[in-house]
Amino acid sequence: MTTPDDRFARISALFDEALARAPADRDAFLDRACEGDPGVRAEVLALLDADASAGGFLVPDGPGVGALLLGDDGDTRPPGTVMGAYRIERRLGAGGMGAVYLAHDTVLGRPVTLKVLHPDDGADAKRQERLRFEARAAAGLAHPNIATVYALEEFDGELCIVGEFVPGRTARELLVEGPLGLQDVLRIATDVARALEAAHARGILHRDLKPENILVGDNGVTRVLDFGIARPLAVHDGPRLTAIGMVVGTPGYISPEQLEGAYGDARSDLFSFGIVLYELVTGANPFQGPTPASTAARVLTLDPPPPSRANPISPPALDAVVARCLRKDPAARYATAADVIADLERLASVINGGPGGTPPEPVTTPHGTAHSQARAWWRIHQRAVIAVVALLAIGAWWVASWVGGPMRYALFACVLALAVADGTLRVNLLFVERQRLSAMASQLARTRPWLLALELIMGLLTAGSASLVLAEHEAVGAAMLAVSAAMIVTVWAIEPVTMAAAFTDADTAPPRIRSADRSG
Amino acid sequence: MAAVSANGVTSLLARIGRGDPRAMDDLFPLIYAELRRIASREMRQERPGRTLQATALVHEAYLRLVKDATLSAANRGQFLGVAAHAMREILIEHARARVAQKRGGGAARITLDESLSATPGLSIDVLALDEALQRLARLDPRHAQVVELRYFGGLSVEETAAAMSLSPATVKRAWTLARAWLYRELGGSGDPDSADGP
Repeated sequence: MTTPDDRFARISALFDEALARAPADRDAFLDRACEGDPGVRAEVLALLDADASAGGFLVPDGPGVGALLLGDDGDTRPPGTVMGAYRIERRLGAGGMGAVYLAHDTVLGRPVTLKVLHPDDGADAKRQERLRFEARAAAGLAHPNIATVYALEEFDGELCIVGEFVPGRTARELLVEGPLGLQDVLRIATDVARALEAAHARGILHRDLKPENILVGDNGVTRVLDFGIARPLAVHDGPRLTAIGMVVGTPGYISPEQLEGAYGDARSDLFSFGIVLYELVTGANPFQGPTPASTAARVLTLDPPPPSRANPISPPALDAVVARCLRKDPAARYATAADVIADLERLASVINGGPGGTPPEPVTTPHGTAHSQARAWWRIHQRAVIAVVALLAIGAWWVASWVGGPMRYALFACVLALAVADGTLRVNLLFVERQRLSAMASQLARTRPWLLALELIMGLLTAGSASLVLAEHEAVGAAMLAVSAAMIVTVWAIEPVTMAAAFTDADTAPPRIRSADRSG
Repeated sequence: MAAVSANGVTSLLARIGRGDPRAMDDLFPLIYAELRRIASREMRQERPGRTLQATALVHEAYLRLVKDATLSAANRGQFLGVAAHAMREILIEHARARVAQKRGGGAARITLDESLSATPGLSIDVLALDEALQRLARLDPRHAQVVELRYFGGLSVEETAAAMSLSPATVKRAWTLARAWLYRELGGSGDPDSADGP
């Protein structure tokens, strides 16, 4: 290790000292400290200048690597640590904003959550003040679907938000297991929308609504966490757009207008709500890209396919709610959370077949004409194959009698069994396509290898017996060879194409499940 | 050492912890190779506008090499420190290769940016940054190392402090100065819009 440059060491010390002073006093301080050395003075001033304008230069985003890996953001207070009236019991987790602890309020004797906020590296008094202001506003929210803020405390200059402790799991944790059932989706979404409605009525925006901030209580009631405080604090959180203070929550859950720098309004929260709703029902965020930049670009430009394309349990009415929340133009979205609630409740009553409710709408996906034509062809294809295998079974009876010998019954039994199995599978597919489209993707995936194997064997068997009868019955043998060739070609080359055309990727692929991330 | 095993890395880290200087030399190529492999996989899928995310790569290397071995904070810091250095080397190589590929195209630059790289001001010319860092290291190696850990390794202030056996306050001060110094060295190529929010 070389010795640090002496001049640089001096500049460094002066820089630190000057930075610790109020900007107005710095000139006078440097005048005194750098007497007779204008070069050093100029350099320190230039560095102070650079520091003031460096903005987000080089600033690493997101929690540190260790935090990502181990949920450890460096803030680990052992159980038993006392902070004011609170005794820490255990660490619940870490989010972008800081560590969250389960603590015991020794005065009131109740469990609380203690969120220790990390001011950003460059946190200034102004931002701290704004943070307090917004936390105070959020603390004023009393609603069953909003986690209650009990107090905003300060211990040794660290801000702590003391809140209600609700046993439960976040929507992110639930999504780890895949998309949720329709009933659950509607229940959670309605609760979240109610929370937004109540907050918006008091002029408070959430600004960082995402599955991590939605807590589904063990009692079945959903609460939204971190109201209003998310924005000024998300500085430490996931990717940000620009430099100081211009914080925009988590890409992937943020509205286009906020990405473009607007402050946002209630409708911006509703956009985030639309994404959450989409994710709850499909298991995946429609805008998620490999990098924050691509995610942001998708938010700005991509019109995601309706949720039902990924998960057919989404009825058209839910598709419509999601689509309206996700409009790029805020004016085209729902104007208020109350409108969302009305639509969700109507949908719930329809699905539950409540009094006066119409029976559930058939779960179908809207498809263009090209698509329905492909479906019609696919059906014809199924029926044709069923007819062919049935004919083969009948034909096998005659062929077996010509072949003679001990093999005759075995051959017939074989073809018959294959034909029955194949026909049954195909009839089943026709049924599923008509009645339970939602199960189509998995059923196709399950049956495809069987169909391939069955028809391949049948084709080869037919070809084999054709060679046996070819000598005596030329015409029949040739026909059998033709049929077997046609079967093999069909099952191998033609059917996959018809299938792909009839069932788009979104239909046939099970919904992608994004792995959980640890932020929040 | 051909087989990269979680055990190997863990025992190397333990040796570093006991002050064995050769262990560091053994560890670097392991982490470097792993990062290289992950990075080249990422680059194969490279698309225009795609950026390498140092944090993601270091993260993945850590998971692969350390698996779920429970590391002490000091060992983790050592790993992340070596990984940050390896990451820097890889990015520089990549940037050089790009420049060579464009046969002197002065505009060739790789952006390493954790945030939205679409914001033009936030793109960093890795080669220029590396040269500036080398100049800074001659003035004070500690400042340069803080930048390496924070920027190339994506370490937080606390992790950097743990990795360098310094107090977080010292790291924070060094970081502030180094950042200002580099900003000036690179001609203020940072974010043009540094005004505070609304």
